[in-house]
Amino acid sequence: MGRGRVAGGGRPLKVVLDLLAAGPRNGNPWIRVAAMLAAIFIGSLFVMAALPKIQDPLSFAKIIYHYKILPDSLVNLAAIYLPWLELACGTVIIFIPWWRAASGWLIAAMLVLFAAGMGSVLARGLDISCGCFSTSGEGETISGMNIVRNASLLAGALFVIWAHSGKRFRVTKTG
Amino acid sequence: MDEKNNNMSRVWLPMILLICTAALAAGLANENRATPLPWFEAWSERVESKSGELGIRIAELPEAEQIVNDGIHFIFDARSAEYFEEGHLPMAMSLPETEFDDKCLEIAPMLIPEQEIMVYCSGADCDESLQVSKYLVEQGFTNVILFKSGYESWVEAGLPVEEGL
Repeated sequence: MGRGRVAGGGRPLKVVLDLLAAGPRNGNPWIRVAAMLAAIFIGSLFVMAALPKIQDPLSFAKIIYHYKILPDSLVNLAAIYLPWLELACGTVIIFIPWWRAASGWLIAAMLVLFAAGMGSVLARGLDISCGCFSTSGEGETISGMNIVRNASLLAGALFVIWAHSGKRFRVTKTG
Repeated sequence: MDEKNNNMSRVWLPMILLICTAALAAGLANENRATPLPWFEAWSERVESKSGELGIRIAELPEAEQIVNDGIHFIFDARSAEYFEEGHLPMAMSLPETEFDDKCLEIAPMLIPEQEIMVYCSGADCDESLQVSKYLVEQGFTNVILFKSGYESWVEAGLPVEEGL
């Protein structure tokens, strides 16, 4: 399916699925579906991660401060801005297939940054809350599993980017 | 070459739009909050500056030790009950920030507004003692002291602790 063309034969579910799986370069239907599922999964996680932080930026700022990575003056700025970037990227990667590569790159960049932050916390032996899906100071403590999870999500995001860019998925009709 | 430029713009333009939209939404949401988070704040001096604004005095370790030894002050541990159970300052009572409303109903009748109170949490970076001190001041208590370096400094100094609830 090409950009802007909605196939579906009138069945609403198929129209929605075709829309979600749309993209400029994804000719292979299996890869289209896999990329769509990966995008929906990653996007949902990012939206879920963003909402509590948007509701309570002060608690999120405390968590960022406890990472002891950013200068004091940038803590609140990050606490105010990052959740909205997560929400925007999470929403776009789910609902706007033509922007999946762009939001995928931003999500990948965030995942790398978060993993680096958590790695630094582990290296310094700090015992602090992750702030991944909750703003509770007594929430999920940072461990190696968080970095493994981030790496898995990063692989998913890179797959979404790959499926939505370049020429390799163009269908070449023969005969 | 044109196709390459198109590919680039297909990624870069939405990225820039996403970054700018998120910035705009974040700014608008923050400014429309009942209590907007300041854009810039000196976090390492936050406890001092907030307690100063609230009229709460800061105590360092030697004074906290003296207070515990004198036995005049009510001492409140603002950490969660689990941490309190693992170890706390002698004679301290558990008053977690998250359970303040319920616990305060039990504790307040025992106290007069002029009662001398000391509050602490895990260390210099924790925020719970500041919050509990703030709530106590809002309840009308006038002699609230915040032991800033908290439980970690107490343990590091090798001072005695009690375990259990």
